[in-house]
Parts: sequence; structure tokens; C-alpha cells
Amino acid sequence: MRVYIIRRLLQMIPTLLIISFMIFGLLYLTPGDPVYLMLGAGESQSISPETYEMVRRDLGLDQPFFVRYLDFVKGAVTGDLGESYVTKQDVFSEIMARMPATLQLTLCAMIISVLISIPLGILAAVKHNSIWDSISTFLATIGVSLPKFWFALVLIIVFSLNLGWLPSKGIGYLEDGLGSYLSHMALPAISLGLGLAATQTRMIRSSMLDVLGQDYIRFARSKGLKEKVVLLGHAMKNALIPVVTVFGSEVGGLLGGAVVTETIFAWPGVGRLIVNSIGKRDYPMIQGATLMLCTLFLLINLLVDICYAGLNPKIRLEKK
Amino acid sequence: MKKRSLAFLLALVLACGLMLGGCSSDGSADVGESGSEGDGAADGERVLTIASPYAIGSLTPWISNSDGDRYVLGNVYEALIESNTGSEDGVEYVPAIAESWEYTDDTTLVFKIRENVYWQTEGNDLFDEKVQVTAHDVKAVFDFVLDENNASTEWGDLYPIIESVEATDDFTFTVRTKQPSAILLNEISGVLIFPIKAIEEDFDLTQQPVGTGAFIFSEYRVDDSVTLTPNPDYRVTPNVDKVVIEIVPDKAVAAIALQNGEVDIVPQILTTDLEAVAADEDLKLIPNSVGWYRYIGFNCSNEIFQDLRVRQAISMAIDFESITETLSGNDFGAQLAVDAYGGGVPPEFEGSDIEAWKAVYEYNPDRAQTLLEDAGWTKGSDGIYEKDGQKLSFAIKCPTNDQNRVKLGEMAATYLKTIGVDASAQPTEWATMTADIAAGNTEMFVMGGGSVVGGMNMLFHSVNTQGTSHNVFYTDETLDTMLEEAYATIDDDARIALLKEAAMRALENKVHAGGYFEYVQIGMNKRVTDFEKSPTLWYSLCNDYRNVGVDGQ
Repeated sequence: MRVYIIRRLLQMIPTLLIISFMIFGLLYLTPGDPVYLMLGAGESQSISPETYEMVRRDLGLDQPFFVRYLDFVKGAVTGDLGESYVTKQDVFSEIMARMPATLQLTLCAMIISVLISIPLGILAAVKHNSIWDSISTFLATIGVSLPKFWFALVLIIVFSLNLGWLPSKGIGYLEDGLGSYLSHMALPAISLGLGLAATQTRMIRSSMLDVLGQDYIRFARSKGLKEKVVLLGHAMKNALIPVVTVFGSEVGGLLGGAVVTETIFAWPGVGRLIVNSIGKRDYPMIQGATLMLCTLFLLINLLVDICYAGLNPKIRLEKK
Repeated sequence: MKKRSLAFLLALVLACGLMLGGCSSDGSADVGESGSEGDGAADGERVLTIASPYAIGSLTPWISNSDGDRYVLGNVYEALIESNTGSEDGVEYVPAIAESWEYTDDTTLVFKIRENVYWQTEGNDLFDEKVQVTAHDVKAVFDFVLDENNASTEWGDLYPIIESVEATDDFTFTVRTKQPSAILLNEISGVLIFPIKAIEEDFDLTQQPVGTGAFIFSEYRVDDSVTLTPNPDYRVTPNVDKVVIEIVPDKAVAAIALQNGEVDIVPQILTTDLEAVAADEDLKLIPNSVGWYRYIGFNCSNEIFQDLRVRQAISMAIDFESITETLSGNDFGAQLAVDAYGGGVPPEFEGSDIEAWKAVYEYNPDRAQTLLEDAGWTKGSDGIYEKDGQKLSFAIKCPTNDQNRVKLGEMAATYLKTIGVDASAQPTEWATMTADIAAGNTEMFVMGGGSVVGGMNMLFHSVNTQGTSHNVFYTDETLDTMLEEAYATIDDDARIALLKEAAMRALENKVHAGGYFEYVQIGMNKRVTDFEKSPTLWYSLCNDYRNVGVDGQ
């Protein structure tokens, strides 16, 4: 196992290099001028050519592409992701300042998703072709199909504006009390979690159906084992293997991809930071945040692979 | 009632226990009372909550590059003077750190500094005792921002004007200009006075702003909120105990938060939310004190638009009055926009003369076609004008972050199609669009801005428009001279006459095809007091001419 993990970690190096080059190259090709935006020259501010050149030089944007790229890679290897053009703060610190909010939201969304999708998926599979199956499939389809921004706004209108139960925006802090923390968390986590649950429910249902048709399940039943033992002890464990794969990918995506949710609910997370940075062409921030999220994504995938062994000992991670 | 029942039913379906766990112990979250929502507001504490759509970029006082930064900095720092755009006489300058000022000659402006201004002492490690602000402090700041190496955003505006600055004595500060300047006061109002001691001691003002303003920077919760508390050493006692600026990027959600009572002021209500806010008896809409200019500009370096007749024809083919009416029509009696007719100065600023512009504006598609034909364009078999094998075809770029401007581009393109011009709206992301305009990578574009003192220089002067998001590539030495002369004229009447003349010249030469002045609506809870006197968040909420407060707590 240890050798496998080390091998996978080493494989991440070329992957991250390729990713970093792609991020850097794409940003280089993206239209928009960070100097211009940084100086606030837009609707009501003009900048002199001298100021423009000076700032451009200060930011190193007058350097050739490969010089800048190598500087970025060298910095990233030593843990220095550079300084934000906009805030003038260390990129790593800026990302880390927002990471807890993103992680909290992702974790809560995952919990909601698991609590909904596992019982619903199993129920749909066990009661295959019944009304329960139809309801489960219907809800899952709705959940997958609904645009996230629309669903988020509906939640705000219903629970915040009409019922006045929950705040419409912002994050709660534990120092302000558990009630404030949970009430602020509720809507964004539900908005994200229900979308994730819809996908998971469908996956669990089909995976369970597949497993329930296997010989060893029939054998277990013929031995007279209780249905609960058959389902939870034998079927579910195997059914979860493909689900875990997809779940891992989706959670990885949530870490940086909850942009819509974070924006609508004014959630101060990494996704919103990336979107703001793109709007201002804050290259160091975009590069740093994307690279960090890609690293996290790869690590989660590694974790998922390791989980396979736990779920099914028949799967061997190391070559014999 | 039916709506509420439906909402309740939906709630039951969607809220599965777990969600209710998110509510406070009595089953209801503490929403509906701004200032009391998890921000530690004590009973009876007067908390003013503002929903800002802008993220905090940099709180460095000499590099303030967004409205979001300015909402904070404008309360912590002061300039020598402030411009009050809410004045009935248009823009007026009011005392801030300087209690008075006077021109001793056309190029010398002398400020008398107040003797009761002190650096903030609470919540920072820079000053542990009251230190008076003197003219020497002010001079140090001006020297700093006038040094190109410090990359101040004010440098580009100040260095062409200012010859020298001097602390004549402890409380007299003198500015000498290279030539007479009518926009000097405006430029000076943009320079925030910060303690130069911070630079000398390597104190990070970005993390801990320290100024002389009415409010102390108390707390910044990353991307969430900024809390300001009253400065006990300020000459006026603020009418609030706390100001919380919450960052709410989605304007629709900000409007909901306003209706919900979670916030008191939302600086920009979306058109789609205006009716709901207007209908709420606890809220009111306040138009921004200045009309924001939105226009369709030509890229005059493009061969097609070098011909004045083509520019005139395009302007004449678009019914700007109807477009303005469509964009601003409403049932709640708010004036959301007025037609600009191609003139670039809002009614609140010097040089505006909408009636005169209206008199020369004409929507006349037939005449537009005649002008095109005079310019050598003929209709092809497909009904589209062409000349020397080139179709009269172009895109109108419009920024995606403003639906009204996208609609302006789309409607203009539709009008042009009806006379045989193959125009199309091209929604473009803001950063891309501004860079495209600056670089000349446009044909026509919808932009906005220039609604500031000296705005015409930014919109029409051939040098000042270069490399900016107003780059029309229009060179008219006469117009440049008129603007230079106007902005170097200290006499008000003479200057206004010159500015009107310049605006009319720009209009007649169709630098812009047309546009409108948009009165962005600020949403406000009626419990907020004194804000309407100068409805802007750009300047301090508490100073000598307004002291924003909240009632009912």
C-alpha cells in the first residue's frame, strides 16, 4: 500500500506540471489587461501611459512568457505562489483564508447528500419498479435537472423572504453562536447537497440493482440471512464502489466549483475568489488557486482509490 | 395568503428536519432585523448595515481601485475636501480636513487645515496617543502620491496639474499648479490623507487602515463583511454605533436581504427588483444623485466610421428616445433614465445642456439612408448597404455585466438592421471589453462613465481617451483645445459656456451615436436617516454636512 501511495504521489508531479502549463498558457491567451483593471481605469478613471508602463514592469508582465512561467513553477515548488495583483497579499494566505469556508460548505453538502442519497437509492433499488422507485427516480431527475442558481434563489425566496426562517446570505461564525452558524449554513449546504444527492441517488440505485442480481446475493438469501444483513452487509458494500468514485470526483469539483452557490449566498469561499480574480485578471491568484484545487482534486482521487481496498479487500492496490 | 401557503407547502417538502436544525432553538433564525443577525449587535445598538456588491480589493489608501474599497476607505480616511454631489446646485465642495480654501491667484490654492483633526488611536498600534494632523502631514501625503514610483492611482490625475505643494505653516497648505485648473478641487478631493509615519515604520495600512475619519476600521471578515465603529476623537459624533458593510455579490439576493430587513442600504437595485422594493412600505428607492452616462461609441479608426456622414446616419437611424423609454419605463413613478442625445455630460454637471442637444437630435431613418447613399453606400441584392465590395456590417460590443447596456446594444442593432445595416450586438465580458476598446479591437461599443467633474476630458479629448475604455480614436484638435481652455478657466460662467460649446461640438461630430443617463436606484430602509442628503456611499457617512443614522432600535 505504501509503495502504491508513493507511486501515485510521484505520478502527480508531471500531471501538475502539465496542468500548471495549461493554466498559465490559457491565462496568457485570455484577452483582458490586468494592469488596466488593477489601476481601476474603467468608466471613470484614466491612466497615463507612464503609469501603465511602470505598473506593467512592476508586475513582471513585460517579461517573456517562458520566463514568467518558470518563475511561477520555481515559486510553486518552494510553496511561494506569488502576490496578488489586486490585494498585494500572499496568494497562498489569501486562498487559505477562504479555504475553511469552502471546506465547511463542502462537508455539510456531503453529509446532506449522503443522508438523502443512500436511503433513497437503496429504497429505489429494493422496491424496484414500485411507486418508491418512481418517486426516487422522479426526485433525482428533478434534482439533476434544476439549474443551481435557480434552485438557490427559490430556496432564498421561500425560506428567507417568505417564511423568514433563515438568513438569505453570508456565512455564520461559531463565535456568534451555533444558531447563527447553522442558520447561515443551511441554505447553501442544502442547495449544493440536494444537487449532489440527486446524482448519487441514481448511481446508488443502479449499482444496487446490479449487485442485487448477483449470485452471491441470491446465495446469501437462500442461506436464510435476514434481508437487512443481505442489503447492508453484502450488497451495499459492493454497490458503493462505483459510487465512491463518482462521489470523490464530485466532492473534488465542489471544492472549487461551487462558484454559483458561493456567489448567490455571498459565501466567502475559494470559488468566489477565483471568479473575482478572473474578472480582475489577477493572474497569480487564478494560477495559485487553480493549482491548489487541482492538487486537492488529485489527492481526493488518490484517497478514493485507497478507499476501494477498504470497501472490497478483493481489490489489490499493489502488484504481486 | 395563497402565496404564503404555497411557500409553506414547499418548505415542508424541501425542509427535512436537518434544515430545521439550522434554525435557532425557538425555531426561527434571527433574521429580519438588520444588525442583529449574528454580528454581535447588542440590544438597542444602532447598527447600519450596507450590502455592497463589490469585493474588497485593496484597502491601501493611495490605491483605491473599486467602489467596494472606497465604501470602507471613505469612512476611515478623509481628504482635504469632499465633493457633495447631492447638492441642489450640482457638485459643491465641502470642508473635510481643510476648513476653508481660497485661490490667492489663478495658480495658487491655499487650504486652511482644521486644528482639531487627529489620527485615530483606537484599534491600531501606530498611534497610542492623540496626534494632531498638520499641514506637514498633508504635504507628506501629496509628495508621496506625486512620486511616480509609489504607483498611486491619483498620480496620473495630479502630476499634469500640480507644480508644487508646500506646508506654509502648521495649518496652511499651499498647492501651486502648472496652469490654472478648474478640476483641481475635484482631483484634490480624491487624495485620502494617511499617516506617512506608517510608511516610515513599515506599518501595513492595507491590513489596518488608520486615518482621521469618523469611523475606525474595526474588523474585516474575509470576503464577508467589514465592521466600522465610531472614532471618539472625530469632531462629529456619528449617529450609529456600528456600520457593517456586508459583501453580497448577487444584487438580486441583496434586494431580498433589503426586503427581509437584513440590510439597510443596497447601493444598486436591479431593474427586475425595483417594483418589489418600491411596493414595500418599509423601503424606499432613492435615485443616485448623478446620472450615469451610458453611450454607444464609434471606433473612429475603423475605415467605415471615419466618414462623418456614416456616423450621423447611424445615430439618426437609432431611436434613442424610444430605447430610453423602454429601458426606464415603470409603474412606480421613478425616473430611471433620461436621454443623452449623444451629449456626454449628466444634467448635474457643468456643460450639460440637454434641451440644446435635443433640439439638434433627430430620429430619421429616411434621412439616415440618404446620408449613407451620399457617402457612397448602395444597397445590395440582400438589402444590406455595401461599398467597394464591403458590406456595411459591424458588431456593437456591450458589457455582459449590465443588462441595460446589453439591451441598448441589441435594440440599436435592430434599428440599424431595418435601414439595411448589418449590425449585431456582441455581449462581451467586462475585462475583455475594456481591453478591446483600449486597443481598438472594436467597431462600435456600448460603454459608460465620465459622469464626474472633468468627465468630458475623459470622454472626448483625443489624448485622454487613448488607452482607456473610452477610446473612440477620435482626433479633433479644435475640440481638444476647447476642452483644455475650458478646464483652465477658473471663472465659472466662462468655463460653463466653453464646456457647453465643446459638448455640442462632440455631439455634432458624432463621437458617440447616442445614449442615456441612468439614475441607478439605491434601495434603503426608511429607518435610515440623513442618507438622502447626499445619496452616495463614496464619501463618509458622517461628516459636517450629513450624519447618517438609524431609527427604531
